Amino acid sequence: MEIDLTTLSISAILYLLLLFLIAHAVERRWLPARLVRHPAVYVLSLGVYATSWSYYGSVGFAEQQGLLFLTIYLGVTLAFVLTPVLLMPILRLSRTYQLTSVADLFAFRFNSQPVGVLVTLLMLAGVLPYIALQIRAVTESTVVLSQDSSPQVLAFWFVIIVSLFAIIFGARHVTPREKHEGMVVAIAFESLMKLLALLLVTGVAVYQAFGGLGGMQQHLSENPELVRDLYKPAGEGAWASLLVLAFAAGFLLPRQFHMLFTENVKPRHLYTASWAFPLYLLALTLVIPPILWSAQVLQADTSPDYHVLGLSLASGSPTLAIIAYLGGISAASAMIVVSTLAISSMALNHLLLPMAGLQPQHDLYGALRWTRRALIALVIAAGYVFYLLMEAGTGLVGWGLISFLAMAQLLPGILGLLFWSRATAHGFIAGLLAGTAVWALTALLPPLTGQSALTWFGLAADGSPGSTEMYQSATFWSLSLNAILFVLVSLLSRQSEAEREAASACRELTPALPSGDLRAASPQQFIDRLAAVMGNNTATAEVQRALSDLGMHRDEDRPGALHDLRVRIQRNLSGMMGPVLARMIVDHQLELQTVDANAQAQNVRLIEDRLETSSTRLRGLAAELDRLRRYHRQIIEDLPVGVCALAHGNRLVRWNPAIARLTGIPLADVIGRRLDELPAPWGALLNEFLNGDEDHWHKQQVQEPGQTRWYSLHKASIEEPGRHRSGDTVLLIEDFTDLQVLEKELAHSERLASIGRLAAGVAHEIGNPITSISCLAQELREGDDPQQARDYAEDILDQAQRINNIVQSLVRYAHGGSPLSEDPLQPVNLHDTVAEATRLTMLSRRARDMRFENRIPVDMQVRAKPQPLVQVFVNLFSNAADACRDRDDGRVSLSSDSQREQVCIRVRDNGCGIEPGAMARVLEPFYTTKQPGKGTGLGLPLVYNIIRDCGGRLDIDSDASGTTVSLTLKLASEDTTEEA
Amino acid sequence: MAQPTEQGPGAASVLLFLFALFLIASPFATWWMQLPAPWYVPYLLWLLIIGLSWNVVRRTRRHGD
Repeated sequence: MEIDLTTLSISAILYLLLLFLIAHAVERRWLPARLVRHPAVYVLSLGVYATSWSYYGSVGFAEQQGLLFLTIYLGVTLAFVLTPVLLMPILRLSRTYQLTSVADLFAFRFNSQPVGVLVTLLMLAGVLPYIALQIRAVTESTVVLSQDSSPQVLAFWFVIIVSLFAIIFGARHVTPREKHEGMVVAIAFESLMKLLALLLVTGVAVYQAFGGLGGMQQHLSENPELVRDLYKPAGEGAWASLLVLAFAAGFLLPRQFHMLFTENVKPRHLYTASWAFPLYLLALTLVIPPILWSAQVLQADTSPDYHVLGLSLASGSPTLAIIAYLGGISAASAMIVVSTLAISSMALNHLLLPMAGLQPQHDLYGALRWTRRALIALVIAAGYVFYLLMEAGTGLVGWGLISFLAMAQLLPGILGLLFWSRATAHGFIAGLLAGTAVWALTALLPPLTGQSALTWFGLAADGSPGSTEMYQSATFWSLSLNAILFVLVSLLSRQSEAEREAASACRELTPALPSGDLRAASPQQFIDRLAAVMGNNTATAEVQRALSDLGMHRDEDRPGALHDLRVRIQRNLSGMMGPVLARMIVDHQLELQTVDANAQAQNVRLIEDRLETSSTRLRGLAAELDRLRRYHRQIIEDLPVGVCALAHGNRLVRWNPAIARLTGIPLADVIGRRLDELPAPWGALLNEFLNGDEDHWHKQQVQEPGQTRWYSLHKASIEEPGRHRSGDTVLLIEDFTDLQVLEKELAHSERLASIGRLAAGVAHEIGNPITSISCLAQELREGDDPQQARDYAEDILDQAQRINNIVQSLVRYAHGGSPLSEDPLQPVNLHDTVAEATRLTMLSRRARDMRFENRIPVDMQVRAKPQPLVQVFVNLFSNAADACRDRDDGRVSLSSDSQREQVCIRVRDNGCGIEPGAMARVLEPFYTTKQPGKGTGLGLPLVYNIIRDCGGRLDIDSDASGTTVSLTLKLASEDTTEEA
Repeated sequence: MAQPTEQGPGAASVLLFLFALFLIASPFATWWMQLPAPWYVPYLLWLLIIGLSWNVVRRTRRHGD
């Protein structure tokens, strides 16, 4: 049976058009996102690993080398077993730093353009024959089915359609942030197609040859040499070498790297792939021995490489033959598309852009996109030319292994990248050049020259060119030389600072902290500077994208935030034009100012961010230290007192939740800002306090919108351990508003209480003059002497004046305003104040018999609040009267002693004094030594608060002979007296 | 306070890698290849490695790494 070329061509073209349709449906969102982003799609897309070499060639490989064919898949399984320590770190790196290819990865790590160029050239050399191989597999499979000897037209159109697919669906975006979901789903579909086609062909073949699996098993029992032949080469051949090659190819082949890391949507999908992808490969290869044995039984008239097609033909079903053929088309097209995309990206970033340089463009994105498309066409065209030149006799496996060995030269480098910070670019280049030279001499040239270079040195004489033994020697010598030179040259060469930083990033160590502020002080200045190299449109778009990524505003100007913006822009540019060029642009256009030795504290937030993101990976002592750090930070976070820390340049680096609540300013709006940039009233208030001489402000009144609040502020310098003071400061803010309100209420209560106490005395005091007035009025009514009447009237007026004085004193006292009011201080005559207080106190019964000695100079003025000061003395006198209640000669003497700008007023009584045990508590509110109901316990606390409000001080000294209360107040200067 | 695990998923995967090497790339592998074993034995060993790998991933996810 044979199928005509037209049918095959139409089938192939329709199948490729179906891929277009699938990709288009995904891009247009016709398929649900859950399906498109399902881990199974990611896993199947990795099936691009299985090319036509696997699809067709595995049977031939198994026929010649038995189980050795399995190494190509077992090696990949070994690589995927190491996902947490090998693949996941690479994925993190490629996502974080937007590295789109293996060349990007190495160029980033070694911070070297030559490294990128070298890796790209090696990849090109390894992949071009591989692409040619796929085209050849398509033409040869067409020949097998159609017996047509000239399928070149089909090959040409196959290349054209595949190129168009890659250009349309593989180069839609210029950054790896936007995934090519359409292409990924199409590649996943192709993997599914390959698997289903193989399973179908195998099922039919086994049924035809053996009548089922039982028959096959019986056949194997009857012919034990079949299984022996399968195992024999594995024990003798290059088993371990091929495992190493496949291990490297599993994630370093350009197509594998592209699908694994660049097109990865969610990192956790990689964990799924770590077991699911080997499972897919197992299913794909499980059918190879049955196909081989079925072909032997059915005597398929094809070369072993194409037994899959031969069996489908033997089934007599054209449909099955076409399905098997389309499986091969799937394998070849998927490989070409993805490999070309990866290679074009490398060629753009590491060959074209460094050579051509970046020119300011109106539409840089468009230019990059079209350049990449041109490169895709160029790479596929080169592969096609290679196909035309390729020797027809080389087996499918041969070129595949040549390509694998090329990729394996990156193995020492990737291990150094992940696990050895000391590795240098020189070491990598030396190792890679040596390994590549051995690869070229032993693997690349022998198929062309017919002789292995190793034989020149007397090595591997038993390995003929292209044989697996030859690969054993080539793998060993190339990788050994590569690794030895890599290590030796790395140890003998020095790393640059940038390289050391990149090495730390690759090992997830802490890279150096940014030192110094950026010269560009705003996102707009970023745009202006970047526009010089990439044009205004692209610069604006990139800055806007980075701002959006970080959730920043266009007017952001905090140095820390601008550092983050710079890093983000560098990473985004890296995804677009490679890490080396991106770093160069950012270093030149967004340069840092000179290093400031004190700037380290600015990086507190950065250090914390890094610790937060790396905390799960800390081990041992580092983990203990991190726990300690978190504990100390939590203490600050949970403090009920507002705490903020200021670094160099008065930039805020710490802002705890309490201060966020007090000020109503959230943490995110504050960190990195200068203190004076805080909104009113806090910016001005805190800045004034910070720049002032005083370390403490008590009960500072702050007018907030709609309310007045009171805060106490404290500040202290932060000293770096073992060094001089760092210039950083910590500010503490306590909210005293509630206490202030309570004190006011207490003061009011105390005043009401004292008014109540005075009321009885007032009644008594008023009673006497009223009695006198009453008597005088009676005398006046009965008398008729005009002179006497006038005398009586004068007496009545005197008594009425006396009543008036008493009432006025009480009214002034009662209406004197709150003792803790916000009234300004003013000059107050101390002598008159004491006299007023004396009069008021004398109203009360208990003080009536006291003797008051006012020795204060009549012209002495102090700065105070008039009525509260009266209350101070009333309270003190009342206490003195209570202390003297058991004495007949109770006495209160007042004296003053002025020194410079202050005066000390001593109020001394000769009462019973205060017991030593009570002395410490007399200023506590509600503490009283008096009988229940006699005192409120608020008198002395109020005195203390009023004196403190007036900027004064209160001291109490007491013994058995009496108590002396000393009040220190500021004298009113003459200037202020005149102003008043 | 959560205790960071001293032995992350990396340790388990390295152990599994060594075990896989023992199964498929060691004198033990040479030994079972010389036995008159059924043809599907390599696939069973492969499936065992895949199953253990799945288990490592499952435990990793449970620990939220």
